[in-house]
Amino acid sequence: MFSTSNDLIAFASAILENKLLSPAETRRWMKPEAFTSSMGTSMGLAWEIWRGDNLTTDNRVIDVYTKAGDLGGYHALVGAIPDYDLTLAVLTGGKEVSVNNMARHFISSAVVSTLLPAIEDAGRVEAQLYEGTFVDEESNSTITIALDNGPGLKIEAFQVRGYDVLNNFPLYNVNKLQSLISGDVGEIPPVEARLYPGGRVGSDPDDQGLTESIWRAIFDTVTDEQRAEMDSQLFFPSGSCQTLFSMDRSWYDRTALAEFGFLINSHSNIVGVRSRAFDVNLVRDC
Amino acid sequence: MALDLAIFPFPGWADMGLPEASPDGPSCSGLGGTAACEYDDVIYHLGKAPPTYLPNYGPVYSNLAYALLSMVVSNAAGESFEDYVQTNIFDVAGMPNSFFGGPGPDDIMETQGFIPQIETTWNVPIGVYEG
Repeated sequence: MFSTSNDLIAFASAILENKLLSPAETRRWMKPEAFTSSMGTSMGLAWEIWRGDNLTTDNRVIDVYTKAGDLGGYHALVGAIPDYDLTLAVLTGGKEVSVNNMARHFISSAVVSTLLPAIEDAGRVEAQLYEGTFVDEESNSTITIALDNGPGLKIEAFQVRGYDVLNNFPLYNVNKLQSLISGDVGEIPPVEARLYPGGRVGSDPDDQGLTESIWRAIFDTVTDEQRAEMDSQLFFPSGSCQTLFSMDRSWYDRTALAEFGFLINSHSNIVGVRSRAFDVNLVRDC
Repeated sequence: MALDLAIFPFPGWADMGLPEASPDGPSCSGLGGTAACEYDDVIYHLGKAPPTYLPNYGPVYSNLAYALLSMVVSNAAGESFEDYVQTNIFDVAGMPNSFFGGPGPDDIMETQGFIPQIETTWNVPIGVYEG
């Protein structure tokens, strides 16, 4: 097959834009099917998935979906990074790039490792739009969002109807019911709360011409020291991270306490934050 | 399968310890001056080859698997693989300069084709391996 780098970018973009498959089918397809004996390589259908945690300052694992191809002295690669909506095409040919058939991999890897940190930084600058304090004076509720060096956004403060939800979050648990009833909840560990994109769009409250972007919070009580201690007792890397299993723990009236909606106006300003579980709409405090 | 040594009638194989190939052995590939494989060739020869691994054992890269996949797509779609890809991928994604086998749109092969020195596979028909 003959093609151009522009065409291959169009192909990879069509995948990420769900032009070839439905959104659900695309999400299903951009997944691994099997591991290999190399930790950094997994196989999809028929993606060659590269995984590395040295591409961002917070050492997140980034998955790069690639497909390489060779014929004679031609060596090509098309790639997509779903986490960033980025696409990549590398077309090479000739004896210089045919020594060990890895030149196309080296070039592709260099493109990702060079550009991704810069793109990540640019993304952080854009994410500053989310920072700020949002209030509902009538109910004495407030939330403060900040950007630091960690992943996602940080919830620095969250109070609803005068109660410090953030620092008491571990109490929103049926396991704590007896303690809450008896009035002796004991010591509550420090909470670090971070928000991550939920990949969903909500609805426009009260028809204000806003879009709602759903994010999910993780309320974490494990300190770095505790994390290191746990990891030292596990043979597999990063096993101390158990937050995946906590995603749906805290619910109230069929709504996750950890779900937040950012309300965005037509100028891309974040004008409000909404919690369905707590039934509060917080407006940016300018 | 395109790289099956028995496809290439090199007298030196015997000196290297290889036995005589089957009289009805593989003879197509598209590479090295051999004829391109067609669907029937693939089915015939694959039927005589033992499996590499049991189903769902683990990932194995296989060019032949892609050839088979293109045959499945063609059968399911009721048209050639190339036609299916043109309509459902090239046209949908907006890939005007992608095609199977020359000459392609306008004089793109002459004006934009990149052919390194000593390249032997430029515009060689590889039949079912286009998939």
